[in-house]
Amino acid sequence: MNLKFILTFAWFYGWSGLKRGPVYVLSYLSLPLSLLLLVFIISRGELLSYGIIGGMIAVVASNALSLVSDNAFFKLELRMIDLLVATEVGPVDYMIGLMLGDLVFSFPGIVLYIILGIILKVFPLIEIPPIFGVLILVMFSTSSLGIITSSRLKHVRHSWGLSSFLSIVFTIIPPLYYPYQILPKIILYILMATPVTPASVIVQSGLDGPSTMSSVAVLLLETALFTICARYLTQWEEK
Amino acid sequence: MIETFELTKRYDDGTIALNSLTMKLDSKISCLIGRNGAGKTTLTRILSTQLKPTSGKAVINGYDIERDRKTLRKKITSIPQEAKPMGIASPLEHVTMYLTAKGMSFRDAVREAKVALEAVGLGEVIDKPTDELSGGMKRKIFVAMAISSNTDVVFLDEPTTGLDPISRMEVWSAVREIRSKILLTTHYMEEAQELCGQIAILDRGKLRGLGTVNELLEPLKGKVRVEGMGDIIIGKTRLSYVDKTKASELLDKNVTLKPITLEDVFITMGVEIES
Ligand SMILES: Nc1ncnc2c1ncn2[C@@H]1O[C@H](COP(=O)(O)OP(=O)(O)OP(=O)(O)O)[C@@H](O)[C@H]1O
Ligand SMILES: [Mg+2]
Repeated sequence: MNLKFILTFAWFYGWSGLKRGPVYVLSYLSLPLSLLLLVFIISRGELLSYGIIGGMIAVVASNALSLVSDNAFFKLELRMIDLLVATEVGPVDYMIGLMLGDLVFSFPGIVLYIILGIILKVFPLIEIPPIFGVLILVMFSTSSLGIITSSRLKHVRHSWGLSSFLSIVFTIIPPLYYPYQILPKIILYILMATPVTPASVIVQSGLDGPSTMSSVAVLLLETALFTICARYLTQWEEK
Repeated sequence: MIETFELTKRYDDGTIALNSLTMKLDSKISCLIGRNGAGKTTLTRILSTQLKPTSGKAVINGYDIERDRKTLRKKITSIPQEAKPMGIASPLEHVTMYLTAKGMSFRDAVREAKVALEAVGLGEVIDKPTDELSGGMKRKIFVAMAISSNTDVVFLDEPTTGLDPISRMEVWSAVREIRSKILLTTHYMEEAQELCGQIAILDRGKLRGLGTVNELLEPLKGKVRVEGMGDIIIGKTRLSYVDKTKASELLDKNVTLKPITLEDVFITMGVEIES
């Protein structure tokens, strides 16, 4: 691993986006904040905490999934991989650089949700570090899924539709904005295939619920699995 | 020194882009010229380990492109023909990112990037998002990467395409300053003539000519180019080559006479010339 490249790449990719287009933070916040309002109104404030937890995870996941199009764009349009092949870095450095860049870009959103969570007493201060850990795993696993999806695309145009489709599938259907307990067990198990579900179960159950341990295990396993697949599918040299 | 032995590339769709190419390049700056689709980019990509050859072998400064791939990648720099900058990032951010990939610390990379961007004439715009730069300025960002990376061999695939004449001269002088050996692809004959010690002419994946400018001009020595008559037809223009001694006879005809350049070597490749 080449840490100085990874950090520089995150600065190049994430920070430049944030610095020159801070208004786009509003664009990725618009859906989760609207859903927060909706959940709040419909439940007369009862499910407010789910709106916060769900939105926080959704911000990370939807930004990570934007890698479907960014990775395709970098590879097919900008020829970024061609440029980076003859250097000291490899596919793992590039991948982590992309992921970290997305984390930088998502950071203002994460901070906003953490502040909301603290003010509205959804989670105590002491839970912030483990929650942040969960978000990092969500970022790794969902960006890996983004990279996996984009790795075989032949045209950037195909990535746009996929990116928004996946974003909906990953942030609206799984139990992010509503309590996971209301799902029939079998559906919950199926939804566990998306890393956002175990993440949400962990945070919703206040980090020490009955399914926390198993959800942590599932999340770790999925993160490892998806990251390895993404690494394997990121073709460095062409055949 | 760059050597290839029967290097062949057949793409998945059956296109044979390189056809058993064997050649040896050892001048400070070597040039690849050839028509669109001749195989120049394919060759450059294979030599810079971006693309695997179908068969054959290539060795760069003693390192085999397949066996010693890892080591070689640290010793070469390759700027792809179609590389484009990311619109939202600045030239300084691009070159800095590239130089850290080449192993520099962030601080050194920033410093070297500034020097290189200055050298290619982008000193005024180092912090502008590249979306706001002209096409030629975008191209120069990549030239700046090449001149600052400080490796043994540098591959430049059409570095000056789209540049104005002055920018091109700026790039030439920057390229001459590079200490590395360079393999440069170009469609500008005067660029090849100006910069390159050795010129390789590719045609449909095969080597059609290799030598210094003078060696390549040798078959046309003592001739002039006649535009307006002849058997070589390019678009609507007829061309021929005649001895200088006979040129005066043509002066009253409606033709233009031009001195021989590398372009004529290129044009006459495989074309019979009246003697
Ligand atoms: N990825 C690919 N798949 C299939 N065929 C390809 C691919 N890339 C290039 N080719 C074909 O290989 C041949 C050589 O292409 P190459 O890009 O090497 O030419 P070139 O000499 O660089 O041309 P130009 O001067 O236009 O840049 C062409 O016939 C081209 O169509
Ligand atoms: Mg080319």
